[in-house]
Amino acid sequence: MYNTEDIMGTYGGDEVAALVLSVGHTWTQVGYAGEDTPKSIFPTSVGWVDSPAGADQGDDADNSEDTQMQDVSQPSGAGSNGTNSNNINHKEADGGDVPASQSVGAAAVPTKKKKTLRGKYYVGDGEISCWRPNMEIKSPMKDGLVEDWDALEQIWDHAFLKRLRCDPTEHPLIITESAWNTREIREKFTELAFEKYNFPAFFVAKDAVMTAFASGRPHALVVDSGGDMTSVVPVYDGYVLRKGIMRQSLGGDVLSEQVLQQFESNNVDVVPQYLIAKKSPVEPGQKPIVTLKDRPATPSFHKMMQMRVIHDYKESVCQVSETSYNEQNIGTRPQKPYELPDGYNLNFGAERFKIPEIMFNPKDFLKNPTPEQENFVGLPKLIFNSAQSCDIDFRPTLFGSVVLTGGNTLFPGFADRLHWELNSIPHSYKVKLHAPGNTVERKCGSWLGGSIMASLGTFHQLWISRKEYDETGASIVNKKCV
Amino acid sequence: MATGNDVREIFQLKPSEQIRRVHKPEKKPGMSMSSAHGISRELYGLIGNNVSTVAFNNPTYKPKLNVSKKAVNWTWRPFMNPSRDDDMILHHWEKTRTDPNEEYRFYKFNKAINLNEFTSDEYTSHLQDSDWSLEETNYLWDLCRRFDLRWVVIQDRYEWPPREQDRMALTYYNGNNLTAPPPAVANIKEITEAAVDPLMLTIAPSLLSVESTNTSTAATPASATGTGTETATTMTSMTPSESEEATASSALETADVTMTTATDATEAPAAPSTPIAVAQTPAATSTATEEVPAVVATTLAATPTTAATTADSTASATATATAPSTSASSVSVVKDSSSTELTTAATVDADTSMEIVSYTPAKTRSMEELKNRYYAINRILIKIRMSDASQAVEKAQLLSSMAYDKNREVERKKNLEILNTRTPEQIEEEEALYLEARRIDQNERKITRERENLLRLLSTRDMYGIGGPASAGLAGQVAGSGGPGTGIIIPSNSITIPSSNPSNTNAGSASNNNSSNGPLSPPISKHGISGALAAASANAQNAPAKKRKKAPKGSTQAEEAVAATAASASASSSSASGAQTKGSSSSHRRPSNASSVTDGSSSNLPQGVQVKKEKLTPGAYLRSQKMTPIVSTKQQRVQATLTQLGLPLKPAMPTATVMAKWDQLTNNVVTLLDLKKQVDKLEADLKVVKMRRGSASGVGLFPAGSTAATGGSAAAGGSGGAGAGAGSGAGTSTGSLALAAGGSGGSLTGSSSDSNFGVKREGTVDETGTPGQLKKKKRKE
Repeated sequence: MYNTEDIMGTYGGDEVAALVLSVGHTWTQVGYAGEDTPKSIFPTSVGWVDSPAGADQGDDADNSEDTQMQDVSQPSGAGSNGTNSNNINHKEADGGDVPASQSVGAAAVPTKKKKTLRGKYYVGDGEISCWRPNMEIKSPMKDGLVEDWDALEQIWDHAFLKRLRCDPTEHPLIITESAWNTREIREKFTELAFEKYNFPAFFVAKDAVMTAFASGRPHALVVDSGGDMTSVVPVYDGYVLRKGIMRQSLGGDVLSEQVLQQFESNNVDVVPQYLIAKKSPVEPGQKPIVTLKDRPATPSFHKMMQMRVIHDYKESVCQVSETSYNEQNIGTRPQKPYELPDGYNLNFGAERFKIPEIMFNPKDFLKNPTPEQENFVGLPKLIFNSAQSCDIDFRPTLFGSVVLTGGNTLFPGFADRLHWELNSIPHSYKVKLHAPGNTVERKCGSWLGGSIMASLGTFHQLWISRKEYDETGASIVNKKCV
Repeated sequence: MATGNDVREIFQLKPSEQIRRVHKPEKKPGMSMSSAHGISRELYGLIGNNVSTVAFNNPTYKPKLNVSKKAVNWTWRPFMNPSRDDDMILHHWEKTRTDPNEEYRFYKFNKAINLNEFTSDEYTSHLQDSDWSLEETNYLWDLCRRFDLRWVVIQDRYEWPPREQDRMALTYYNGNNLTAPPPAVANIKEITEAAVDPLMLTIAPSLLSVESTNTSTAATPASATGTGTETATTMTSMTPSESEEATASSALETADVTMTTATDATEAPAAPSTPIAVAQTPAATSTATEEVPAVVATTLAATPTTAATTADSTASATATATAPSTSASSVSVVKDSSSTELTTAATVDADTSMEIVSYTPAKTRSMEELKNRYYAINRILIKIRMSDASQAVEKAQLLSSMAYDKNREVERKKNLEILNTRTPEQIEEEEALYLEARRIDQNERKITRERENLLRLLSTRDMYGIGGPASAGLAGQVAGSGGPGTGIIIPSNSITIPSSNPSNTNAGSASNNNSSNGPLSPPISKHGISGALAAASANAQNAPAKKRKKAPKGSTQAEEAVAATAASASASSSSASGAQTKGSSSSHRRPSNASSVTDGSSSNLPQGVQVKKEKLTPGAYLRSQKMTPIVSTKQQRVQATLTQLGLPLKPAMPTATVMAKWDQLTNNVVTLLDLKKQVDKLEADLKVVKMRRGSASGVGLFPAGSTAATGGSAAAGGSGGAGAGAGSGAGTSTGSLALAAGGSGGSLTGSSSDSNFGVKREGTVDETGTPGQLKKKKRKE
């Protein structure tokens, strides 16, 4: 039969039990290198209660295993239209799907009350989606850069200690960063890894490069559309071409806001799960008959819960027109019913196409844009601009391997549409779009790449070791991770 | 396959002995076996020992799990990677039986590029370049090493002087907000970033002034080129990205980007991500604020020459600097004020002072420049290091591997760029043209065949035009020698070319001019002139031959003219000296003596021009046998024409003269009929094309059509001129030749420039010319 060493030799793997961590704006993925799925995926957002008096919950630890790949899966019985079938149970998910509302546990992370007023931090899907008065919610990431280091440390803590439950001193760590990350942030990452967690080795990889890796390409034009922003990054032989980076903060969150506006303009109030005590079925388009709970919450918490509902709406209903948006064609498409948590339901026709259309034509479809949003360009244009800013000899290669990643690209028809759009821009290149059909691959592209890379035998010479860090300091990361 | 044997077997006949003998050796051994076994042949063919057409593989099964074998032990084992400088120890699982001290398996993949290093001595003596400093070259080398000569990456990361900055980290960029020329915007952005960077601010306060000065200098040229407001808008467009860093309260102040230093001062404490910066901000702010007035002054006034203006602008600048922040007015106000400031700054003479602009913005180089430098240095290094003659081959190889032509590369990329920036319309047009070209290309054979047919048709007249006088001349000569009415001639073998026979038959009384003029006759030069010279000398015989050669297509009329003259001349002479007369008469334009050798006008006549020979059958023959046979398909129509003309189908009295005339006549009739047919066909074609073009409603896909038309008209003019020349007679035959040549040239350009249209036009034009000619001629006859 097969010789194990031959296999190892052919793909060049050499597992050193490295950890892979990918902190995105919306989701954090963490797991072991060499595996094909992250061990754990949980929201990047953290919650905290400002006053110490606010944290009066019990400490039911670890009831909050977040095992859901889907962004929003409100497990209410009312979610009759929700397509929650994509939930993936992880190997570690001993708790299974725990309804968010039932977990009152406050797996209080007892560390870090450093300098702010923030008392207790809540990390993980079960924790942050649990209603607490005065709990603020925030994502430490903004535009692919770390904005809130305290919160980020909570995420790291949660990932390594609560989820993986590993000893950081035993595993090398590889993390992904955005292609436009700053030197300071990477240095802080390095400090954090070595000073606080005592990892024996550390590496920072560009997420675009990792996505290209995951799709098996040394050269690629990585189109990443996430919750916070959309970026196009050219990758040449494992190196990001900085001059070709194009990005704009047009992502899933903007689309969700637009959906919210759509509902508001129809005088529909999006009432999240946590407020609903009782509801009765109503006819489509009728006012909901609902009894609400008296649960005063912070605006940020309310917003997050609203966004989760809308996220579910987007996943269930929204679709991209395969060719350019045409009102007549869209009119002939079947309508899709959707019911909000409070029982309000409606059949959605053209609206469900208009939302993702923003990605392709923000000028016409983005309602009430802010001054910054007025500058947005469509995704095809963004891709074209990016490729155009690279060397002309390299452009055919780039167009030949456009890699699509990010949760915001999971709208049905998105890849088809993008392909169509890219071909209708006049140029003489052959466009090949690589869009993995597997949802996990699309959502965890950069994590997967990191998992592959960190398990390669040839990679181990690149790690920043403890010794190197001690000799050079945090700035070594800028030398070794280019 | 059924053989004779099978047939016999079917009919139950005994195979004949002979056949059996023939077949015996082919019989396979199997056959005998089959007969031995008594199996029918067909069945044996199926099951006998023939080779199967399908290859059977023995089915293989997955080997079962070997339970009895002991499992291999694996150990969690530390290892060191020799590729690393440090002795970092990682752990991995490995088979226990493998040697723990074995070299790391992946060490062999650690390959580094072999870069030709140069010493500083070598640099100073050989590698100096006015455009490159040693430091920059070293930087390039460093990048080459770091990125293993991945030029795309090198060019991307190239930034000289290297700056510890992250481009684009803090600004949005989607390639869309280019309000000014891209480089300028990039500069501004980059520099604002630099100025915004809090770390920079804290570490090097002295640098701050430089940086912000730079902002000003970068901004001022932009405002000088564009309008002030434009610059202002570009600057304010930057603000959203910056204000994200800043708090909401400082957003308004941030809007005033021209006061970069002030912005920095307010922003630094607001940035939460940099505690170091926060810690040191007070000092930094103080230095910053101290420097603000000076910097702002230089910013807005662009270093005016006099101190007075400096003071003035400082005042105004500080005023505007404070105004927006204090009054907290809208952004538009800020924009207005800053823009007016900028315009005033632009109006103030921008005498850029050297003492303030100490910083040059990062130089970016094109990939071609970088590659050029790299390869040039390598070439020089090879040259100076491999001076040994024994290494010449290797050296040449190395040199050729390092060859790089920068200009060519640049040109190539430029062309590629053009190719890729075509508009859809251009691409469409190109595709249409390509299709059209393909169509023409495919039709070309058909067209050329048609064209050849046409030309053959015309040149038969050509041939005939010479053949006519020739036979006439022959007839005249024969008549002279043998006498008329005999009907039988004995051709002399010495006659090679009818028209040149005078020189042979009348060799005794040969005049000087005829002695060497026959193109095929060997130059018998009395004067000792070489053949080439003799041939070069113009004479009457050569002239028509040359005309035919030179203008074979369009100049039939000219030929005709000469031919007609010759024919008439020879026909008129029936004496023994007729040939001689003819020779001189056909060349009566020129004095036929030795002086004609020096005739410059035709001194370039080629030698050995072929003239069609009359076919000479050996032995005696009847004159009527010499009648040119008419092609059977045309015979009927020719006969019809003849009867229409009131002529018998065969001449009643086939004398030489009559026969010559008769041949001419039938030939003319055939040609006329052919031409008429062609005209009909082409007219029909033309009609079709006209209809098609009319329906196409002038898409303009055929730009060459017009040129074809002009070509056609040129051809018309040419042939018309030729016709005129023919009409005016032999006296102007040179003129007609020239014109005819022009005509054919015109038609040639017309046809070559494009398409069947040109050809058709030319054809029709020729047609319209020739039939008239023919008719005229016929009438004459």
